[in-house]
Amino acid sequence: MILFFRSFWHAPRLGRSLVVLVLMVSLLLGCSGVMLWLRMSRIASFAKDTRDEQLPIFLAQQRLSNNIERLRFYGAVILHAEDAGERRSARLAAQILANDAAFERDPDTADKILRTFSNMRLIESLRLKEEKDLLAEHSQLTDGDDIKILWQETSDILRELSDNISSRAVSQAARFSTMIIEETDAARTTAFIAFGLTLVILFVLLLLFYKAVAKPLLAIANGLQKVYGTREVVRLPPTRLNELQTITQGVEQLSRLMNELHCANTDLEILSKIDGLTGIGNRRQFDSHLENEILRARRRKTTTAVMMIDIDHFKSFNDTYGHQQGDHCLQQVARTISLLFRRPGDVVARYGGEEFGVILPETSLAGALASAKRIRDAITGLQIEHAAAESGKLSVSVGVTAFVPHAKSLPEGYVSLADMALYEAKRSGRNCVHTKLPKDI
Amino acid sequence: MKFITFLLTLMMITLFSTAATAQKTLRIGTEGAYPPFNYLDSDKKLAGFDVDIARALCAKMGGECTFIAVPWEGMIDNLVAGDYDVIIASMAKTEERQKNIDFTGHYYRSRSAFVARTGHDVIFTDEGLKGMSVGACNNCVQAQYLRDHFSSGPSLVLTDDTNQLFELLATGELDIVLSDSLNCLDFLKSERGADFDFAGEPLPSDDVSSSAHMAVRKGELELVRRLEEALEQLRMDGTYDRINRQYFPFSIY
Repeated sequence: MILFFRSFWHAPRLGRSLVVLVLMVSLLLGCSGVMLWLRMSRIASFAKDTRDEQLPIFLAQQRLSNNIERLRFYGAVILHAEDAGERRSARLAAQILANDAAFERDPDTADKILRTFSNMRLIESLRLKEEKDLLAEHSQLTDGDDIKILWQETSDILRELSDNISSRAVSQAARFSTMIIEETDAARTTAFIAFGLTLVILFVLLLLFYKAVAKPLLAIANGLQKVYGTREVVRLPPTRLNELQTITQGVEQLSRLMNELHCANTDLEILSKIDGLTGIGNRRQFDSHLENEILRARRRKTTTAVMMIDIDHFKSFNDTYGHQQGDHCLQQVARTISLLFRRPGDVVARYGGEEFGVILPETSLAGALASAKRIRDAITGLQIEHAAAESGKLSVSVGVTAFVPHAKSLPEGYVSLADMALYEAKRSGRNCVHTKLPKDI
Repeated sequence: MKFITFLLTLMMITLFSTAATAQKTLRIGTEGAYPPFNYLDSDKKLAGFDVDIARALCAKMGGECTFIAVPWEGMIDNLVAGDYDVIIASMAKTEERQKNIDFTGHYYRSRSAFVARTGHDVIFTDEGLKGMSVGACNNCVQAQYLRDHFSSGPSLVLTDDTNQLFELLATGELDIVLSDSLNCLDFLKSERGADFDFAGEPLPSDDVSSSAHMAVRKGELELVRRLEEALEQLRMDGTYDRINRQYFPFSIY
């Protein structure tokens, strides 16, 4: 058991946590249920007690007070009735009533009742004597006073007893209802506390669940979206739960892997667009840039210039100085041209063997022509010896074109324009610049 | 099909068994010579407090009842023999009787008392009663009381029922009678009882003679339960009080 909890505490698992959670909630509900049930059964047993024990007591008390009232009635009959037989009947009944077993439970009450009865008996005999005296015409009224005093005493005792019994009954009833009210209150408090406690604990559990499960899950979901949407390496907050930690680590690994893959891709892409020898763009880059540039220029209705540059008599340069010198020469030319175009968007690429292409966005024919002349000057300025050339130095021929692309124009069309210009430059003696505009065709 | 047959059988059994319990009449044995609890009225029909209570109990228990008047002497033997199912005849619950029959709780209480001629002062000891004749009904708890307490003084006279007892008292053949105080009251209020009165103290309230019970054959506890339950209901719904008032001016439960 302890081991279970230790392992649970140090490496909590989602499944186990859920089981523990459910157990705790059921335990809580069960406990409050049992508490309430206990309270309720207490109330029920109270009510049962009241019915089984108190009701008979109430009935007995009611009967007692009825009998006392009866006794008083008989006393009144004995006191007032004219007929001696009637008085005798009342006294006989009173005799049985006064000896009722119910009075005997309380010796004090029994004594008092018997006292009242003996008073009644005395009153009966006094009245009988009185009547006899009256018949014998001995008018003595002292007995009448005795009777009054006796009756007063009897009446007082009976009233006191009757009051005691009813007040006892009332106080007992009050005590019982108070007890039941107290129990009910206690039950209500218990229910309230149990309910409140359950609510609070459920709230805490919910909070824990949110922190431990829902929040990490959200982070994981966001992380996954980032993995596929962006190129960043995703970092997730650590979680306590074992399963979630596994998922978190998985997502992070995936993210790292995706990132590495992306970097490799980028490298490959760059490699595929760079000319290995000269380090400037290759034909593929030139083509893709031209395509993009034409689309852009068509949208913005700007003029784009394209140049094709060819080294004059390069074949014989190679033949004369060897391929190594030739490669070196190509590198120098490439560097020289690319140093001339520093604007962002300008592209210098090796188009073919000894042919270079330049794309100049937002450049007019005049601007392009000026740039082309600078290229020609810069190359001759390199002073590379070239025996086969007319001037004895290395030179280039440049074909220039400039255009505002229209809807159906293709990149190849503009390249061939520039090519045509280059061809004309070659034909007209090399080491020069020629232009060709779309409308010239 | 089998299931339906089974269900039908079950229903039939239930129907018949409830019909059987409902149809069973309860036979009640009483004495008919113990006014005002049980006596024969001017039409020679059974009447009295016991009889009325028994009728009310039957109504509560939801069955029919027949009454059989039996002399006190053979009351218990006839119950055991199966002539009737319940005795409701103001019977006291004694240990000796409990050997043969079972009792319910009490259905009324009343103490026993002595009756003698008015003005006849009696001292209730063997000495005081010397030479007197004291009567009680045969097989009654009062007879037993007299045997236990006044064995040497008075001469005991036992009669078959209390009517005979009071007859003997009225004619002067008996000096003192011991009977239930309410039974005595019935006599004292009658014409021939005018010259008589209660004498001495009533018997102690814890004596077996002070409460009346219904009796059934040994072991019929289910019947005891039903009777007690019905009595409780009579007490609660006021029927008991109504019958009580009819015979006695105060509550005797």
